[in-house]
Amino acid sequence: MEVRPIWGLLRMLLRSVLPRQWHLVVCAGPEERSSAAAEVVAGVGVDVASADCLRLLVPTDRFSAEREKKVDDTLARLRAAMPGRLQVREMELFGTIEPLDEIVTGWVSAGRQHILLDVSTMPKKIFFPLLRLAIRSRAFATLIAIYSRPQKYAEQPLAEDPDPPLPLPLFTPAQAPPHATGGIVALGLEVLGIEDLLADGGGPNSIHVLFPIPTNPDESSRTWMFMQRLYSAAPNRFTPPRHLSPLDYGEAYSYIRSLTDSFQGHWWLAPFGPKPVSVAMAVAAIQHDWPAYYSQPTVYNPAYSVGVGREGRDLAVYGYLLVSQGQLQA
Amino acid sequence: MEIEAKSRRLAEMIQSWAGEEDGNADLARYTLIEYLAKYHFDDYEPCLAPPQPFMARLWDWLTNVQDSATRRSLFALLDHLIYFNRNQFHTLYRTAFSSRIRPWLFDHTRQLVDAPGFEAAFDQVLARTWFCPVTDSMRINAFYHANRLSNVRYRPDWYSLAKFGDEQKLSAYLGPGGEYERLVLLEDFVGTGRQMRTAAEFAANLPSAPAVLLVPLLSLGDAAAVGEALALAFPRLSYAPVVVLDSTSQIRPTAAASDLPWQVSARELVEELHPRVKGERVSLMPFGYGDCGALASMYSNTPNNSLPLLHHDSLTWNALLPRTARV
Amino acid sequence: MALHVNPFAELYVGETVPPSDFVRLFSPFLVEHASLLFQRGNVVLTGVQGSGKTMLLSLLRPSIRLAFHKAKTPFPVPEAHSHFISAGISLRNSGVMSFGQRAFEKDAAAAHEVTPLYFADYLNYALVLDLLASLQLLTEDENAKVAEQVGLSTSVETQNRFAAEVAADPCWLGALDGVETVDEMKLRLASRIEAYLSFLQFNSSVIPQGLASSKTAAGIPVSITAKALRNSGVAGKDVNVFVRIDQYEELDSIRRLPNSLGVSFREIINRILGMRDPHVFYRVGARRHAWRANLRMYGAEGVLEDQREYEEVDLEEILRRKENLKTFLFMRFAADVTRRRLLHAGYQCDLDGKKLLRALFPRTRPEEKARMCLRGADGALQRRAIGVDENWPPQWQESVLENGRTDPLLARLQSAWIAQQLARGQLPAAPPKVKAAQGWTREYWRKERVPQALMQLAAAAGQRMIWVGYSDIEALAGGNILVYASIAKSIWAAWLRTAEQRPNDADLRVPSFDARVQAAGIEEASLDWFRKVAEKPRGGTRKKFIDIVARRLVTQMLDDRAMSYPGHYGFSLADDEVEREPKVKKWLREASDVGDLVEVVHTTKERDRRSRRKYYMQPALSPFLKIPAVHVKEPLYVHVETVVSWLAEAEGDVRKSADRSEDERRERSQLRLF
Repeated sequence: MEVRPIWGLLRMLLRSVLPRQWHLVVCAGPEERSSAAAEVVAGVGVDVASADCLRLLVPTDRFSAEREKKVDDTLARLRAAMPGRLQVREMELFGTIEPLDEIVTGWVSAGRQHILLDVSTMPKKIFFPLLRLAIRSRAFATLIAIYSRPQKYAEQPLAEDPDPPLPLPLFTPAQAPPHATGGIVALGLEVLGIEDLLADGGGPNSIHVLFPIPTNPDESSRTWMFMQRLYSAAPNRFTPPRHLSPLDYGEAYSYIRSLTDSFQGHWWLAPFGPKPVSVAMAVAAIQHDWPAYYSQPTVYNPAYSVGVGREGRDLAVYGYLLVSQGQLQA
Repeated sequence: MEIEAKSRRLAEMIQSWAGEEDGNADLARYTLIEYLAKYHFDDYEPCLAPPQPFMARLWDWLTNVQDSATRRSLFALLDHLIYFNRNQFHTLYRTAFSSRIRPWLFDHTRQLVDAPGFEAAFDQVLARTWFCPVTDSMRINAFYHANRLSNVRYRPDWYSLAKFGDEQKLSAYLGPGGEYERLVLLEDFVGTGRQMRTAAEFAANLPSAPAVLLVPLLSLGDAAAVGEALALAFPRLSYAPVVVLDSTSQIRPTAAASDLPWQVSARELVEELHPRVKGERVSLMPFGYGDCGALASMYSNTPNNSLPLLHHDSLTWNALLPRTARV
Repeated sequence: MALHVNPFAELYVGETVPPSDFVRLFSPFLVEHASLLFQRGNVVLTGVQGSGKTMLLSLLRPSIRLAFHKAKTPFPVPEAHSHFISAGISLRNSGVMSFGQRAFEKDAAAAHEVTPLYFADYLNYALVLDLLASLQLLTEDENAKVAEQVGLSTSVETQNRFAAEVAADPCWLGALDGVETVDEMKLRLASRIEAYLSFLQFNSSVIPQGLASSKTAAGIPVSITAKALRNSGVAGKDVNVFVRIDQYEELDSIRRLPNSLGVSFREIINRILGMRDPHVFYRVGARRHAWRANLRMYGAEGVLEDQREYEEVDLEEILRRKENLKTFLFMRFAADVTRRRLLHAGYQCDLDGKKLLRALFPRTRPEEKARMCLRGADGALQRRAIGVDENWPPQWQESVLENGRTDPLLARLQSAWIAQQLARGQLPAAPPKVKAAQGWTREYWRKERVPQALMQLAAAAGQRMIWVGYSDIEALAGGNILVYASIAKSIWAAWLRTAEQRPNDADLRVPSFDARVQAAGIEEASLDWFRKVAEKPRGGTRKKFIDIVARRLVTQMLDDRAMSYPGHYGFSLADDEVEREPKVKKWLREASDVGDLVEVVHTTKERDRRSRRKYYMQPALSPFLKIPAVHVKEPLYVHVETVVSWLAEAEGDVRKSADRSEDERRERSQLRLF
């Protein structure tokens, strides 16, 4: 039986690991699922000694008022779930990474060993570097990433006005990067800007695509459409897609291992698409110093998702055991 | 008409639509479908031998009707089709294991995952777990291979066992002193849940009262109610679907408030075409088994819960995804 | 190869294609018009994506130089200008992007002061390192011939002497002390770059020792290195040293770098250009407005000036120049690109130039397009489409209907002419028999109105406009070779789908695409370009904007039965009005920079002589939007308030969720981060 990273419903995962004192990290977004992880954790009754809550500051746009109100509501729910333990830290979404470094350093000096990191409503621009700082520090015995699936997506677009695809913070290439062995793109319902990268003559010769299994025809159509367009733009560069579950961090990581022949060479990653898959790409990139590119939206619609999904009687809140007993589970 | 000629004629027809008002949308759809035919649809087993490529079948399907407006409506329906290819199924087998089965087994391991000795304890629990299909349409072998599970001698489908199985023998085999302690029942596609319920009830009612985990890989929303009711009725039974297709994968016979505009027009189309579709099979219902009206198919076959206009071959109708029916 | 291969399948020819393929596919047509690129002086090369910018800049790369040599193909740059060596930095694909991650000082104000200086130092080291890498590559043993052609010495001794001279220069503030060979220098330079990255990536907690006190001044190290190349004899006196700054506009795209660092970084580069260094010349690839938006030089008064510190080479403007239009420059460029691709794909291609394009894409005359539109239309529809008015004098009605039986285009034009004459009270009693008196046949009057007439006929018949023939394709390409290639690709794909496959027949002849195939391919390409609009920054709103504006203009043009305003599928704004509305100004500049709108300065018809610019949708969108592509006559004159309202509608529109068509709903569920 092969070894696979452990993941599953957070409620069950927390009950399946040795009891310990946890430190929870969340991001206060405008969506209802921003507080789902904290509520599940509180419900399970594990010992959460402290909690950091990031509140992201973004430039004013036409959604600001509505978004701020919803973020306030999230904070209220978070405070109710973590009474007396929640520390709110404001951070510029488009600022430097210093605050994240300070946060991680703070955990280390406060002796926090076991981290629960909720990435559900944390932009990739934030959780990618945060993961890197945390994992590279080697200071934590346990690190569980958490992802909450929404009940459904609203009709409006999530976000607008993306930057062109640029390296994520702390995932920039070296000055004269080695020739890329290949690329891995995780598709989502938006893959903005990859064609631009290709048009400028950039990107590797051979690009593998990770295709999340859709759960409805609309998602299926859109994702295939993106695949077809990428393929059409550069038929000699894209290999037929690899399919995987949008929630299966372990499978994504396993694919990356096999695509790269056990992490040989220098790979170029573009983690669009589902967050659990992105987490797998982040871990691979952290271990092997690979760059990761992403088109960061600059305006977020506060009404983009509704509720929290369910899995049977449970909330669809999943935990991914990334680090256990100080070892990266990969 | 030979196969290549059909593909050509299809392309010409779509190109002739280019001049119509929304004709360019048809062109774009065609480009996508042409790609999907190659990388997605063409592993459809019922049409592999003799080879009947998707694009040729598409020509036959669209030309079931004469007028171009109806052809274009049929063509547009494909935007809403969801199809799972062989590779995607392979992923589903593995995801079923990682995300549904393994956590359930952790519970049975009664050890914490990061405690020493956990791996050995888990392996023992796994060894005493029997993975079986609900019906014979589930490729249980493939599931075993995909997850690199040791092969087992017997893998009966429990829908058949419910009819013919010996409860005593089974209880001896699947129970505290038997070969296995617990049962995982997998199914590739669950529509109404009728077969799943039959199999699950039989298993859960065995004198040995084994723990049962029901894992449909693909299921319609209708099946959820059945699964959850089973889980309530039997304390040792758990229901854990992998992918649940939402209401946009179905066209129901009666209108609902949540219907999207395309579903309304699709309903009309289904009803209008049904006399041609059913042909000589007078008892065939327009919205498929259980009136599910699913727009879903998979590489191994198209479920009978899907719209007959997709899968039914008759004297007056060529199917797009012809179904291999259980006789 | 050949058979059933689409020669345009792989649209993007970049660094990833094998150099031998690059050489075969590279079309030298623009080289002559961008010859400044290979001469002394700073050059800013502007153009949208697909204008040929990237390919031209690639000619400066040593790897491409070597590729031509290996392929035994003459280097497309004239010999007199081919003595150069270059270094470059790709802003997106390098460590430069790390600079926004970490502050060099705790205090924000101090960080803002000092970060650009570190950036400049980093840039200096990276460029010199790349220059050394280029030098070593070009002077490798196997490349001796190229080295000789360029004018470089392969002598290791000479090169080491050069390295020592560079290292000794005081500009390094001692950082390169003791270096005696090129290899040693490379190591030292790389090590400093690594130290920066280590700090910026939070791999080290403090700024490495010595970095702060030995920051080099922007542009100086490259300058002294270039000078030393010639002084030491490594490079001949006439060898130019160029520096490529790729993706300059990326700095502008990162609008959100902390403390406006993006601005500072741009100004550092501007400052370097401002030095007007006689030893090294910079080549910056940028978008037109993005470049002109900020010409300030870091830490200096004044701004860069075109023709003084640099020359701007605007590829779009080159292709639009009258003399180039007269010599059909774009057509010859497109024909050359096509021929190369055909040969590369294995086709036999005996034709070139205009003949090739006309053979591939034979035209359909406008009269025939009109007939095709109305094919199958009944009498009533024909009448409506042509626009016969029962209030007209019967003889005129008859004349129009008579013409309409065989030539609906002529009939539509005639109807419009009648309407115009009636409005002036000048309609003759009966249709003149003499052709010269038939105003609707007069050359320029007719030519200006043919596009609008076809538009109206198609709309009346419930059809889309028909686009066929090389002239239509060139109009749609709008001077952009990438658009041309994508249209050619779609047409070829449409043809491959319907062409009979004859496996035993080695048919390597170039095909000729019939009208149906061309029309289908063009429609598909146009839809694709419309989709692409949404994929760029602010693309969602821009797509809505284009849709809103196009629909307004189309409605007006369809209602204009007298065809008095045949040019109203573009709009014109007075510059001073735009100045009043910075948001609109920025919006229009950006749309033009990314190529979604075409902006042209034009002379006003008004007596006020205010300077104006006219805007058209990107021509490739015309089939999708159902508007003509050729620009004739005057556009619609609007006030800036109108554009403000269009923009507001586009922005507001993105939020609405009710009453949406299915397609729009799907289009909008684009950006999901899960």
